[in-house]
Amino acid sequence: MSPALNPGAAPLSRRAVGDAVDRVRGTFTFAVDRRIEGTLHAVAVRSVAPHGRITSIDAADALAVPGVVAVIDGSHVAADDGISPWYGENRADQPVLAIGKVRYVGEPVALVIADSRATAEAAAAQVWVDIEELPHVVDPVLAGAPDAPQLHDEWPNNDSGTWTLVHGDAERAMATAAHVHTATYTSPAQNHVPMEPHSATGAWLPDGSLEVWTGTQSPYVVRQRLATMFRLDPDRVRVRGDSLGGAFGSKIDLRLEGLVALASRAVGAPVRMELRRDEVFQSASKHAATVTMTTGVDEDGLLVARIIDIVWNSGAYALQTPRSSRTGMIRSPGPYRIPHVLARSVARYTNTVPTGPFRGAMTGQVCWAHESAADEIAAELGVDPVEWRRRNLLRDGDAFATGDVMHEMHYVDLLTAVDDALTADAPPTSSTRTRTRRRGRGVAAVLKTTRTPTRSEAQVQVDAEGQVAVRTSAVEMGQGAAASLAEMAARRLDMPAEDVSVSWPDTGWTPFDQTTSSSRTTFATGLAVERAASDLRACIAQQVAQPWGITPDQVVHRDGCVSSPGDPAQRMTYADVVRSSGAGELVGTGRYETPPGAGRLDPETSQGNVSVHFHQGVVGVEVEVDTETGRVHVLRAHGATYAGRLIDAERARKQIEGGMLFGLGQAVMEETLYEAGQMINPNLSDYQIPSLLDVPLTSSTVLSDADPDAEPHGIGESTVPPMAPAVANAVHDAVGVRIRDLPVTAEKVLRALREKQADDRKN
Amino acid sequence: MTERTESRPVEVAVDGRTRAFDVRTDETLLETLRDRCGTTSVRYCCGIGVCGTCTVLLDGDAVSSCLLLTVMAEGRQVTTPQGLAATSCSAISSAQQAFVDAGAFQCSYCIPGMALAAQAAIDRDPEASVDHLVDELAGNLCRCGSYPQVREALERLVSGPTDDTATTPEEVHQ
Repeated sequence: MSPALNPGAAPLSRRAVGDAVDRVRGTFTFAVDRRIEGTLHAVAVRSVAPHGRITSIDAADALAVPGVVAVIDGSHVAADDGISPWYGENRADQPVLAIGKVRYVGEPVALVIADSRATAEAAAAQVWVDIEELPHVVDPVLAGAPDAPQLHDEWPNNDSGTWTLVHGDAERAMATAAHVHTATYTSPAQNHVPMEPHSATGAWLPDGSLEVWTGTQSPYVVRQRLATMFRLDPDRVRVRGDSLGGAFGSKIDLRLEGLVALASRAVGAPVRMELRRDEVFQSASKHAATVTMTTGVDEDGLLVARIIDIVWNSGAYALQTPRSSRTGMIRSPGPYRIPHVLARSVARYTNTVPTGPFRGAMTGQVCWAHESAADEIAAELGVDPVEWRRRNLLRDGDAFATGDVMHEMHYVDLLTAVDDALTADAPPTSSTRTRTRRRGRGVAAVLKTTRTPTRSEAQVQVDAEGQVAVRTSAVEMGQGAAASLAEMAARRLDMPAEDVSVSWPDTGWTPFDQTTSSSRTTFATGLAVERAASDLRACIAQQVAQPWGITPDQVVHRDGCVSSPGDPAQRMTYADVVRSSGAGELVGTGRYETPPGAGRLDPETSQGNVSVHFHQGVVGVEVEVDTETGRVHVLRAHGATYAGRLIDAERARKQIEGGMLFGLGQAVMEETLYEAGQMINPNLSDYQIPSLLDVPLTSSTVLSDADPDAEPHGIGESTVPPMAPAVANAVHDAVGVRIRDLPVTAEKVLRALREKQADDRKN
Repeated sequence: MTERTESRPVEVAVDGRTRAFDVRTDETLLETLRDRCGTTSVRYCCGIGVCGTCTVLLDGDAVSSCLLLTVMAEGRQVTTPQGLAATSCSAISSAQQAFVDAGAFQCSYCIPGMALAAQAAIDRDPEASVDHLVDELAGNLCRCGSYPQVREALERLVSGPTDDTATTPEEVHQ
């Protein structure tokens, strides 16, 4: 039986610890490997115009291709009373297929459904779409002009989210500052480049319910979107996930799921989609941003005020932008003690690929600004940039820009660890200078809030065979979530983690989890799993305590067995306990939810408790700049973060060092480029990501709290945003030029060097 | 409208087993392996032969299966990552073992192709240095940033199998 048509089947689960051989041989499977019998294949026909009205769609030639079953477009969707085609987290502005209008090159206009992907692909090229082009805009600053092309009639001025943060009186305080620094920092649209492309299969079951297999980070969000789109009770939508071959934010919220559900509804059979790489580039983007930051300091270099203006490029649709642009704005002052902060943020629709969260969401753009500014300010004051940060970084008891009184602040220790690592075992910079190659060092720090409010639920169960299973809707995508959750449950149950299986998400079986993003899983889902495991442990103890004549808390748990402390004869495996209980299985449940009111902010001033805790990262790099070519080579990088209660040091190291290497691409290589409203480099030849040859020597420090009751903190993003400003600061240290526009390419460095030489000659 | 691309019978040895297919003449070996053979270790990523994720061995040489038409593999030996050690008595090859020992993966989507490329390189030149292997793997991309552990794996591969008493790299540095 094909699994899609078997709604009773239990969720997939696997051993999460000890899967290395499968992963290296390639027998470990991903969402894209999920194949369902009898499946048809859909390929999207995509807009070739950045902005325009659809005047006609002629599918006759495509329908005549042998093997093509159907072609559907926005007119079919709009005419179907069973469908609410518009979706989005905060505002339903995005159609599942373009209806009447296209807003970016790559927007799905029609779906060709055929018996094979190759046939659908060939036929898609024969769907003739006529578009009456409208003026387009790709620059979010220009999109705010009064005469700019308007993308959405319902959302004037291309506004996809306007926010302010008011802490103290920044304008008045700025006037009293001894020294004021202002600069503008820009960062481009970039692509997540998950190695595994997006894929999904949708099937309508005979009872009218919908089942979707998909590579998603947020199964419960997808379930809600599909329920709304197809006017179903959420319980009638089952979203089944799998491991992801990387995601980095690109697989959050609705991606292909609406399309495959639509296609399956049209043809009455399961329909699968899998994206080509160019389509992955056309599906989600990091927000480009322009950040202007004005900073005032006193005679001692202490921060007194900061005023920040941010313009985000939302892309053609909002998705999460109305919420996330505020989150980015809140992080924009940086991890510093600043008595007066004013931040103003606006996101603008443009005719570019829609945006989504990007590892360290909305933080890289603002960290680029505040950490570049930190070095510029220190230089103007004649202070060492590490020392300037040490004076101004947040410490316990300081107020953040939201008014939060900070706790568990470890920035100074993290900075010291990074500074020590950079200055140890290295030749002094001066002795390594050659005629054309100069070395320099730079550091950068970041503060990131975690998702607040948030909720996670978990079950941990043991069956009569003694099989222990963790059930959550967390998604394993390379960050090691499944292994961490297995270990957290195993420790509570005093058993080997290798014997614990972890479910893959399946909303038909696995309990609610908000999303696998924002570095929240080890923290929020992890705490829910620990509580579920403790609940199961108590349940097991309860079963044996009375027959043994002891109290439940006297029961000893060890190696998957329970025993009575005084009587060696009284010993049972967990399997024995289940069998003797008469129940088929014993189940513990657990839940984590942020405290009431957490995350609620004043709508005008953004004051309040923004986050239950704060992700803290510091990165330091040493670079070598070739003054003849401008090429920047990052020689080494040290990352430091605070993990709260540490679950696994090796996985933490991979996140910290892998995060820096992810950030390295954004620092020196990556930018999606537009010409005439069209992305011109949607491939891995023209859009390069770091290879083994680009990789610096990496090392890391993870600070943790030995208290067994301490909260674990997420660490998967804290070293991504600081990488770019650390590199730019190191370039400045090496050759004295300041790049304020990412990425720090050889061309920009060379141009800046030539301008500097010309200026030096003049002076 | 156009006719469907014509099909042609082809015989390819996949992981030591001769397979016969009727394939479109424009079908890639990647498609054949994934869609007809159910191979999971050969994976699509870039589609243009720059990322290494779809690497297979063709008569022992590492090639990108996304760029190779199946009809061109007629009569040749194709080895996939999951079939690499199929003919030996151990479950995995020496390069794969080095990747396992170094924990050289995060999401692991790219890793089978990378370990296969490393195996091909060390088989061709058993005296290869780590730097040489790094050059050989320049065309195998990883987005999670597992490169430090990949480098450790290559160091292990070059230094040969280690016994349980061997010092860990961390201890060596101290």
